[in-house]
Amino acid sequence: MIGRVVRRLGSLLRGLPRRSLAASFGLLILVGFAAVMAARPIAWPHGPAQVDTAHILKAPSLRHPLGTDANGRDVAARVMDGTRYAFAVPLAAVLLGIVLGAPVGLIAGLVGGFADLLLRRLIMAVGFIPPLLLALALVAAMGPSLRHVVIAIGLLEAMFFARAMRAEVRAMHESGFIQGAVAMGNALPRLALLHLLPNTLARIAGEIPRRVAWALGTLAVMGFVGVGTAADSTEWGEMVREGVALMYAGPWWPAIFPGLALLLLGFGLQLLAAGISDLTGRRPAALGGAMGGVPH
Amino acid sequence: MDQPGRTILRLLGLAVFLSLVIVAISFLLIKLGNTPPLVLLGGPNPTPEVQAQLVGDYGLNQPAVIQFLRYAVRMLGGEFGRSWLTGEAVAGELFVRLPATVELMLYAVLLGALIGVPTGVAAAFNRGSAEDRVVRGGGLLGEAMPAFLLALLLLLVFFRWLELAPAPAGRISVVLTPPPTITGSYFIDSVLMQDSIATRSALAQLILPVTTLALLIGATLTLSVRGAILTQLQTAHFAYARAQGMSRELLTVIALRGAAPTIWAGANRQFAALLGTTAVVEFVFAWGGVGQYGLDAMVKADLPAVQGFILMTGAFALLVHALAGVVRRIARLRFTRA
Repeated sequence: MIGRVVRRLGSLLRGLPRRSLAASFGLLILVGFAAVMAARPIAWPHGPAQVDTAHILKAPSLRHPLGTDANGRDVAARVMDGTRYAFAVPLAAVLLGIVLGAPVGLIAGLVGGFADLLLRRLIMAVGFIPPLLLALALVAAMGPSLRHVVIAIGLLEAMFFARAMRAEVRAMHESGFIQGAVAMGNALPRLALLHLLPNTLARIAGEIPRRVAWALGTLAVMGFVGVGTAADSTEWGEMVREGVALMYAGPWWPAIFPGLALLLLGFGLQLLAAGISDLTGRRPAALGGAMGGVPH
Repeated sequence: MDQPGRTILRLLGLAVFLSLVIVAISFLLIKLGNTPPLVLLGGPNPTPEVQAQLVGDYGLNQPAVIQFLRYAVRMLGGEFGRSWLTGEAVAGELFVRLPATVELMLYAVLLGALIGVPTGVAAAFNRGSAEDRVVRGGGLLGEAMPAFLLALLLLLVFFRWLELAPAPAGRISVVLTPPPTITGSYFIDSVLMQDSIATRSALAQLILPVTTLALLIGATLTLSVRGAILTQLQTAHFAYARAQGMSRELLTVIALRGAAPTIWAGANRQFAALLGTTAVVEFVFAWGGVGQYGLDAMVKADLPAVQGFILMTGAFALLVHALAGVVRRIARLRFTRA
């Protein structure tokens, strides 16, 4: 079973560059970041918290390719260390969003009627509040902690997945899939778990890169504004915030390099998302970049 | 078709429901906090008299539903409470900052449309060409671009290195007195006052924030215009128009007219998100608008200000959505009559 999955994945990856260059480049960027994150502790000479008092705010050089910050710490090591946040927080938030949102959307789509209308109107109403600002406000209200950051972003992702799931289930109503399954004698819970969930989740999975990109951008804004993430962490937005005052005075590298890492990873996710849209021939349900959000 | 009267009633009912949900969200924000409301309102050691008055004023001894209803009535009446930090009325603080935000967004949306629509149309008409790939890649890069990073990159190049742009310190040079408020836009007001120095300063301060926002809007718009036009190019009526040998300009007009509803709806859906992006840009440039006020309040956990801010942005987006719907209906009427 596992061998078959690995073989199928292998043949899928081999054929990918021919079928979608965008998706391949996107995937390459993601794998690159993961590899750098994994290799950093053994392969990089400097640690993220290691202070080099002889080299404070030094411009990029051979010794410190991305320069050093105001405490004499290696910016490159800190950017690489920050990859942990960039992967963990958005992935956790999107997972939370699927776990919370998909069942709600599934049930609403299946039951229809007033419950469905109420869910749609609720999501529509919340959608008028800029999702980025709502996520920040939630964290500001709950108090700063990484767990609250995940919850706040996850709740907004849940709205997206509830909406997307509901739309998929309604589409299955229209295709006659559900009526067919009911006619075959499936009870509703069995129908939902065995037939609808696998079929809809696979389609919703195509949206994941775009949602991860949105979560990543939101996390970075939280760090940049100073809501939620711990001061002096290596989260990229937080690193940019600490570098801004320095940038106006001269040394630009502590602010710009973590920002560029964020841009590159976000671009990789957008490429992957665009590639998936091309491959499946499905138009994206919502845009997910700096401007993107939860649609209404 | 149902009668217009019923449609209007249904839309009004929807608007009331949507507003109530938005109010409920902002109400929940304060309920989420783990600080007891008495401490938040009355300071660390409120006297018993102050406590009793606060409990009475805010209905703290009543069930949450009643508290919510009282809250909703106060909010819908435009009374947003007072900031915990400054003691100023939040509604007034937001109101004086509104012109700054509206001015920034207005110029950025206009410039963004000037960037986004032509490039999107050109890319769609030359699908697969090098031009199309550059536009599409640029659009995706713009989607992935964090607003604060683009702002900082522009500041690094044009303020720090080339010294062409002024420092990111608000809407007019700090050594100048702002013009008297006529429209609330420093630029327009100083033009009206025929103050050329203030005009030049206000204009210079506008350039980088407007460019930042316009590039981000342009990137999103390019992709949606490109997609909408591509769909139009595959329609039968477009193939017919092309077969008639119409000029490129006429074909563009035909495709744009067909794509307009899709583009309009897409732009409409993005408006709420644009308010978020605007807030971040304001924050970087210390713009002094509503967005910066809101983000500052979040950093300081000044929850009444955060509540008022969230409520106001939600209401603003709802209002724009309603107006866009009216425009769409009028446009459709005109098209069907023509």
